[in-house]
Amino acid sequence: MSSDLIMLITGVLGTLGFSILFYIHPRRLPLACLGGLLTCAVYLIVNRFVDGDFIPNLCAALVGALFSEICARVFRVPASVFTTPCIIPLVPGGMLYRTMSCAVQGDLHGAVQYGMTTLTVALGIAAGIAVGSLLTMLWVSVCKKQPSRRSGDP
Amino acid sequence: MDTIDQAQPSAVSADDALDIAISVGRELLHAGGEVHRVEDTMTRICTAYGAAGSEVFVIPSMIMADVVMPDGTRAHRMCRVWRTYQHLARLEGINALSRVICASPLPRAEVMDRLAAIRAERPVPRWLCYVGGVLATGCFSLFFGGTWRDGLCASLISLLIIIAERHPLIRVAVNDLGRTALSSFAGGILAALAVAVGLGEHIDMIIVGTIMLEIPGLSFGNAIRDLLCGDIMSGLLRFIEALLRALIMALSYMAALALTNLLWGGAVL
Repeated sequence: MSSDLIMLITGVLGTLGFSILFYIHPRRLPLACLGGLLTCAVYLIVNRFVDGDFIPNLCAALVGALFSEICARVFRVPASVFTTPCIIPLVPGGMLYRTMSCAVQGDLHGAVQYGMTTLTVALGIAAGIAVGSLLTMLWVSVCKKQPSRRSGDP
Repeated sequence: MDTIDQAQPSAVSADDALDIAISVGRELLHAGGEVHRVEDTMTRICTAYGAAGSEVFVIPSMIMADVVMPDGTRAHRMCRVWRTYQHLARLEGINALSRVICASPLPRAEVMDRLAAIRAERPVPRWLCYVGGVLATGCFSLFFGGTWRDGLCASLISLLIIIAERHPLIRVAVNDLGRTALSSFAGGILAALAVAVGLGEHIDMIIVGTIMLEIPGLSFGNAIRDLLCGDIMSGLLRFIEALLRALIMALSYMAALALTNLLWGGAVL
């Protein structure tokens, strides 16, 4: 439990750090950190109940993507301004490094194993984001069918 | 996006419309915008300036676009984009500008002025970047299971690397992959040094923290997202670039650790 808490706290602070490195506008920082907290929490919760790497990352990225799409519509900015910080705690950086480090050392078995994990995690994140934006697009097009509800839109 | 009802775009030539669209698209791609967003934005801008038709093709290193005006004049241009990176504030600014353009087309000079203003904006002061780097690497060292001393080492090393990387000498003289190789090598040496001095406890945990600065984990995810979105070309390019960069990082770290092993006779590992 306490290791989960450490992961949550460091995940959010890491999101904060990377958001700054990605030159996010300072006024978006609070929401970016909230998004990082959200994806990190969802990942830790789902990871507790489901084995494997794909489903937890998918769920976490999906929640992060939906959160980002909502923020993006509210503030009228590109969704990736929020998606990028949101998925930072999930990004398989260490895995990618281990894959290549095994490959360089000639440990083919380890390279394949880590490589498959990296690919699975990245696929889960990407699928989560894609499904999130797909759902948003569907929702927007359904809303547009009802006429003149937001006709005063600037 | 928004409908155009008051636009009077007939005074704009095909060349000007294409110029404006390409300038905005290039900045958007430069700041880390997704390929389909760049294509979409450029098409919308061309339409806003009264183009009868437009074809836009974008991959991370190039933009190709073709515009036809109602009177039959055409313009075709390609634009090489040298490097892309994440600049979320600029992404936001350019997106706002393209919304303005699509709502009411601005004159060419004004668009260029506004783009220059967006490019000159520094939303994040330099010292805050250092704080961000320190925070990010230290936290991810702890995130992956390091002790607080490992996190401290990772933070200090990343601070040195960031300062060195932003030095004009390295920024101008060395290309992207070369910079990755240099900073990875330095990171490996410094991590071994930190453990040898007794400040750090686990060399692999320090390295896991410091590699987060350079590792293309995010572009790996973006590559697969591009593939899933149907942008096969740009997805493949980003995929290969991410793999190559990770390979170079791993090689540099291995070289650094092998060197320190030789120097200290394997006492570190």
